Amino acid sequence: MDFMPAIVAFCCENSAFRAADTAGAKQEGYPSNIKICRLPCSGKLEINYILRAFEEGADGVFIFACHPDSCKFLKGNVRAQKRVEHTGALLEKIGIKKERLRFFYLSELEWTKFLDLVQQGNESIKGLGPCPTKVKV
Amino acid sequence: MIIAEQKEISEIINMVGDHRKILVIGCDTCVTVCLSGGAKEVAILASALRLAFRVQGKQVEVNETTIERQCEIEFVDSLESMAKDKDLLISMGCGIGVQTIAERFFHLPVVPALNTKFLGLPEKQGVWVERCQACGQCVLDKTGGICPISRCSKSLLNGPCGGSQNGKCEINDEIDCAWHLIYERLKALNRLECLEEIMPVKDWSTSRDGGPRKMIREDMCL
Ligand code: SF4
Ligand code: SF4
Repeated sequence: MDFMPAIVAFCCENSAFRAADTAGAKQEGYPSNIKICRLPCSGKLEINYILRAFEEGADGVFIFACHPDSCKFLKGNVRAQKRVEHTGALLEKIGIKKERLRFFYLSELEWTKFLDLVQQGNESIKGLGPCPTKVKV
Repeated sequence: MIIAEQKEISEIINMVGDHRKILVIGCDTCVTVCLSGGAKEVAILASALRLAFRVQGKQVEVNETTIERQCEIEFVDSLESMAKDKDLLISMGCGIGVQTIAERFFHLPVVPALNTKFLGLPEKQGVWVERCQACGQCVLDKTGGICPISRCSKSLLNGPCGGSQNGKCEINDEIDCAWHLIYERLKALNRLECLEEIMPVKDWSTSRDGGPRKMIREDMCL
C-alpha cells in the first residue's frame, strides 16, 4: 500500500485556517491526511507543539502564517518563522530531516494556494518516507 | 539573576549514555526567567530526547517535572517520589541546582543540561548581560552604581585604561567601556570628585581567591 503520511498543519485563524475552511467547503481535493490545528496567531506557535506533533506520529508538520507585514498582532508571523528555523535545526540534530517541517505564508483568500501547498508538501513528505521516530523499538 | 544557556542537544544525549529511565528537572526561578531551564524548556528538551532515542531505536523513558527552586533542599526534597525509580536525573537548573540535587540524591547520577554563564539581567528580550562577579566586597557606592569588576574587561578599579575609545572598550567595540559609563553617571550625579579618590589594591580574598566561600549568620541559625 502507498505510504500516506500523517501531517499536522498549524494554521493562523486569521488567514490559513479560513483558507483551509474555504478549501474544505469547495470539495476540490483537500487531502484527508492533513490535520489542522488552529492557532489564535502564528505567534502562538511553541517549539514544543512541533515536537509533540512528531511525538504523536506526524511525518510532517506545516506552519501557515499571515504574509509579512500582515499579522493582526504585528509580529506573530516573524516570531513563528524564527521558532520554525530554530526547531528545524534542532530536528536535524536529533536525526529528523528539517524538510519535514515547512513554513508557509498565506492569506485568508488564498484557498487554492493552500491546496497547492498542502498537496506539494504532501508529495515531498511522501518522498521522505515515514518519520524515523515511527520505527518500532 | 543567574544566567544560563542550554548545552548542545548532542552533548546532553551523550551524557545520557546507557541510562534508560530519566527525569528532566526544571527550575522555576532564574533559569525560567532567562528562558533556559523552566517548564517550557523542560518540555522541549524532554520531547527532543524522546524523539532522538526513538530515532536511535533505543527504549528510554523520559519524564519531566519542574520545581520552584533547585538551589534549596526543601524544594529538591519534593522530587523524591519521581526520582526514586530513575537511573539518571538531568537538571535544567544552574550549577547550584545540579549540585543541590546531587547532594540530596547521593546515589543517583545527575547531569547538567545547562552551562551556567554569569550573574546578570536581560538587556532586552533574548539578550542577557553580565553585571556582577560576586567579588564579596562591593564598590558600587564609589562607581556610580556601575560595576568595574564585571563590566570592565580588565576589572580595573581606577580606570579607564588607555584603550577606551568613544565610550567603547578596547577589547571589543561592541562592549561599553565601564569606566566611561562610570564617568558619565558620576557626572550626571554631580559626584565626579569620587574619581579623585584612588581605590587601593583590592583584597581578592573575599572573592574566589579565598577558596570556596561560606556565609554564616549566627542570628539566623537554629
Ligand atoms: S563590585 Fe563586586 S559585588 Fe559589587 S557588583 Fe561588582 S562584582 Fe558584584
Ligand atoms: S577600555 Fe574601559 S572597559 Fe575596556 S579594559 Fe579599558 S577601562 Fe576597562
